[in-house]
Amino acid sequence: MRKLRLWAQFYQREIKNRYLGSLSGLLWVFLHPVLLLALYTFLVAGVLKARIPELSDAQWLPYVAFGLWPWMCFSEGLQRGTAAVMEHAGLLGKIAMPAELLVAASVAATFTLHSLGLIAIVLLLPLFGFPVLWQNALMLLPLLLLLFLFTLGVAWIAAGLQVYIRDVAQVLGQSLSFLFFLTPILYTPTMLPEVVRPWLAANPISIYCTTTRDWLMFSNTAMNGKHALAILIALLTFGFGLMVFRKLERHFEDFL
Amino acid sequence: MNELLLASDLAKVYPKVSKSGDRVKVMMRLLLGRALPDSLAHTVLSDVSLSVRAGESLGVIGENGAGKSTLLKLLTGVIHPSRGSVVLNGQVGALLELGAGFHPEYTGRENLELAGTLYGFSGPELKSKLNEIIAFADIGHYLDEPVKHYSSGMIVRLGFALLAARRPELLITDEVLAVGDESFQKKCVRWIEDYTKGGGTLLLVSHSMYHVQKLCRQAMWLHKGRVAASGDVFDVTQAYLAHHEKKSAAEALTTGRANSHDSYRVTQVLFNGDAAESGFFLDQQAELALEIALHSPDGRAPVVLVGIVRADGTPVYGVTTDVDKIEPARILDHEFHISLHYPELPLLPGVYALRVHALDPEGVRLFDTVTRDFTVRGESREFGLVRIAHQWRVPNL
Repeated sequence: MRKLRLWAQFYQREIKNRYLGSLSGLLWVFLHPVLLLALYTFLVAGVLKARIPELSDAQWLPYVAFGLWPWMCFSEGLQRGTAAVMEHAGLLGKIAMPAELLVAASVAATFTLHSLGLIAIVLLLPLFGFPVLWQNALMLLPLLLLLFLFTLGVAWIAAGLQVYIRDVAQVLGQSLSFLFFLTPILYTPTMLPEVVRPWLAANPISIYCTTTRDWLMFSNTAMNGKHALAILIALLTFGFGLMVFRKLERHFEDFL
Repeated sequence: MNELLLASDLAKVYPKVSKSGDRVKVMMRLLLGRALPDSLAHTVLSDVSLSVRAGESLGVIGENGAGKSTLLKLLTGVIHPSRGSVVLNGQVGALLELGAGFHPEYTGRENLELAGTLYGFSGPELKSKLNEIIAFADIGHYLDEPVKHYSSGMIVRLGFALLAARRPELLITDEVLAVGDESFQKKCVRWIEDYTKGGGTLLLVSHSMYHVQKLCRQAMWLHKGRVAASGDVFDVTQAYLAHHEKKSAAEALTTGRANSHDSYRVTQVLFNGDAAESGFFLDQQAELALEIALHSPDGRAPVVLVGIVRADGTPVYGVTTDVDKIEPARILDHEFHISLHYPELPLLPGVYALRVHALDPEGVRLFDTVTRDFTVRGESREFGLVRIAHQWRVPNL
């Protein structure tokens, strides 16, 4: 109970601080992905003139958007969560508190805002004539929750390591920009050479992008083994991350 | 039974990290659940056990670096023990460090919200007590300014006010109170006294023996990470002070003595009939009788000087046989006896030394010294070394 209240406090503070504290912060959190979306669409469709056989021209923008937002949730949540322990160094070691809440609050705040952004985009795109099944928007919530659990698990591990090895955040930033291109956001899996395609399944993020599209663009809402695997991976990552974090936490105050 | 806090065999080992590779080594050990190797470990606290029952008050004393703050942090769960365990059976309020739980960028009022939750308040509870907290802290318009503009005293005021409103079952506080100004300190001490009288339980770290004696019934003396003594507050604080007095005396003491084999000597001192050399206890205002036997090489009666000094060497009172115009009695050719009585020794509680000196019959040269350490027990809250007879008089109006 106390943990929940504490988490709520940190969460509120995080949202207030980072996003509502300034007008630009609030604008930025919605504007940034929209600008990215515009840029990517322009680059791939306008400059590189890439044509995707199974997509119509009008489907290209929603296709990128529904890959981009889950990705933003994951990558930004992970980076913010990793930094959370170091940001609150002043609090830890002075007062008894469960440090894992700091990471959880940080990741949750990022997810909240990007989820709102995603839902806004889902509702806005049909207004501009894009073919989007906005009726399925609410189905995204459990999907995002699952992605949240997965992200939090990874963030706990990274945040714990970060206290001992200060390069973690940097390495993480660079790895994420690689991973971005290894995730089917700007391309469809069918555009890849036959040999590489099975490897895409090894990327735990790609399922979230493809599922979002399946639900919102192709009305393909059937569940399959891949979804079950994603649930398993998310839960295991969450549990394992918490376990690793709790172990590393024992000497946090000596290294902060 | 009513143990609010039970800690057994607590130890805290800090990792020693000099090279950057050490950080990774420490991390790997943690992940694998292994203990730190000696080369990487720095033990700051070991084998500390304690229990605090509801209604008790325990003061923790010790030198800087003795591990007091580490102990409190372990007890409150701020840091994790390397060995041993802590069991808490109640709700704890702790004020361990300046500004703990406060964010410097936020105003005092905003900080009260998060810190309040950290201290265990629920939302409505905090709201209902907000006025009480603000009144206790008494920091005026600073309440709505960022905490980074506060003086250290104001931060403590806010922290303590929050704690006071919480009225925890067990109050744990570190030296922080020393930061407040005189009037706020008094306010806090009054509050704590009230709180312990009302059945509250207290665990306090302080360098002020005055505060410890005033607020606590039990004390624990930590020395180099271990428990040096624990028990009644007066016994422990006196032992602690004596340790320090001795330490400074040892640094100052360089006395030369004439001490050839066959000269005037003190052969025996019976301290209230006891021939032991140390470990004497006296109650305040108790009787002290000394039986002194002396050796004289030439058969003439030596002069005896008996002095009482505090453990640090400060003289309290000394007197000689020739000042009092008396001589030891000859028992055998070379053996003399005399006894000395203090019917009501007026020393205040503390550790003292009794020094019996043998001088030549002229009372000029000092030949031998025998020392007996003794402790005066008592719970007096008077100050100084001796109790001076006195009377307070209130004018009749």
